[in-house]
Amino acid sequence: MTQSIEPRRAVIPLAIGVCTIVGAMLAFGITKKTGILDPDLARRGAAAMLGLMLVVMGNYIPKLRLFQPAGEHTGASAVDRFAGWTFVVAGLAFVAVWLFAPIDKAMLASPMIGVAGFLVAFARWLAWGERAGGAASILPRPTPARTAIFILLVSLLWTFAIFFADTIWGDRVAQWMAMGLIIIIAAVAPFIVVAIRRASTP
Amino acid sequence: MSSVFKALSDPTRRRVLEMLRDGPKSAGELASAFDVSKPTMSAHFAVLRDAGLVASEKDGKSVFYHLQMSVLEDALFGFAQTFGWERREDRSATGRPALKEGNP
Repeated sequence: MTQSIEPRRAVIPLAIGVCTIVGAMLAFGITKKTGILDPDLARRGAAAMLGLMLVVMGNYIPKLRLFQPAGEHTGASAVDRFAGWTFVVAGLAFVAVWLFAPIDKAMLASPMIGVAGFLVAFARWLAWGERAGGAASILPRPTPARTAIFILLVSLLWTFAIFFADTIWGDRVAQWMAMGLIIIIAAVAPFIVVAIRRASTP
Repeated sequence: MSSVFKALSDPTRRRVLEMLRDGPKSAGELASAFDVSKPTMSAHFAVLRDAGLVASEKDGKSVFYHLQMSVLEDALFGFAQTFGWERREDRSATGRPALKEGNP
């Protein structure tokens, strides 16, 4: 069976959604620094945007078939659907925690919810791989949209880790972790480009 | 979004989506499950494709369909399944669904 191309109607709204959320996060940051918004309110708003990002990405995972492997494989859509729903539910719970819980509790509970969502989706993918004869046989085919959503998901997971670090070790460690992510992404970017080019060559 | 509502408003198309949940299926395989003509079935496939709920892939002479629903569309689909959601023009005067052949 031939591989389907990425649906443009999913890529464009996903890109618009992600850019809007990033813009909103920056706006919350600016309003906090300039004193337009109450610092706690701005912090809640910016953090809730992270949950919203998880919701938006989870929504489009089944449409982009993020977990579709390189070869033909039935059941790919079931894993994608499961991961999509898991991220959407985790994202909504993340937003709810930041809207209604006290900040100190939200700082600890929200990353736990986010990481739990990732772990559940990852476990489902591994269980599927176990039945298919190893995770290597179900490695997704790298395409630009899939790679972008994968990097965004990894960044979100890292952001949740930063939340933990900030609560436990303080600002300084969190700042180094944020810089570390940028350096790591820059280091692996050339390899990702090569993998995409290789995958798109017939 | 209106194309998605239109696609989900028909019970035949919802049944097609339900069948595709088990994995990709050929057009013939899907059509054989319904007592409708081929042109009607093709029109149903076209509506689903236009709404972006399914995608088709050619494999030799066969056309295979697979689901391509976002989580939101999946939720709308579940909602439509549960509450028997239909377009106004699909209902007969008695308020019952009108599954007319050639009216996808």
